[in-house]
Amino acid sequence: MPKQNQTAHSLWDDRKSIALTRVVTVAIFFVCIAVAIMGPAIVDWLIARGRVGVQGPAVRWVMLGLGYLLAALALWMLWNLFRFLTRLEQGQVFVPQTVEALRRISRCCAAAAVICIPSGAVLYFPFACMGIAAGFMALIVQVVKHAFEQALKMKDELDFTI
Amino acid sequence: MPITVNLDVMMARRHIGAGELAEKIGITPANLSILKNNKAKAVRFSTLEALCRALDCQPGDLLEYRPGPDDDVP
Repeated sequence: MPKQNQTAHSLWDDRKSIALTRVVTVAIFFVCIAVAIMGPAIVDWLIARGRVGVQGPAVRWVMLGLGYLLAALALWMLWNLFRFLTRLEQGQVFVPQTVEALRRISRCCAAAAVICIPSGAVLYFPFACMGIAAGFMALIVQVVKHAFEQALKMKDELDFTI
Repeated sequence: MPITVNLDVMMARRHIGAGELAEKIGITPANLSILKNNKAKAVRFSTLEALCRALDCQPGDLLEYRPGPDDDVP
């Protein structure tokens, strides 16, 4: 049994986990771009199916605007996540840039929540679910950011302990 | 910080260079420089002991307390 565990450990390690997360992040980045390109078609499909809570000529443009705003936030968040993971892979874990990346990711999620929750209540209900998920993620990332900030302070203290 | 490390004074008295002292006490010259330039936030007892042994002095010869203007006097 211990031998099997050792083999499993050598097959899967932290480095591979980070590399896989980076690949998934890049894939989601391109999926976001694809969804942004298909935005008008998706909005037209939703309106045609009667899934949108409010009717009117401006609804299409409002939904498109919100969609592009959310896409921009998602791309910015994914870019920061990619940079964060790259630093982790390079062994730069407790550096100020890591804390800054986490702060940006948290803010992106919070902004997405602020946009999605009211939109979900008025326009399209699944937006509200996305907003709640984004808000929850913002809180979790904020907690992780605080932990990294504390660790950075401790590392700074340790580095100057001779 | 009101604690000053008078390492350079003691090194001059003992006629010992930074490289030689770093080698004697087993720390890097970069870390010795941090200590000498009062950039250190803490000193390990093991380092202090090695410094005292290498420089043949007491901890009080290396460390000095100089109250700053912001320090409250009880």
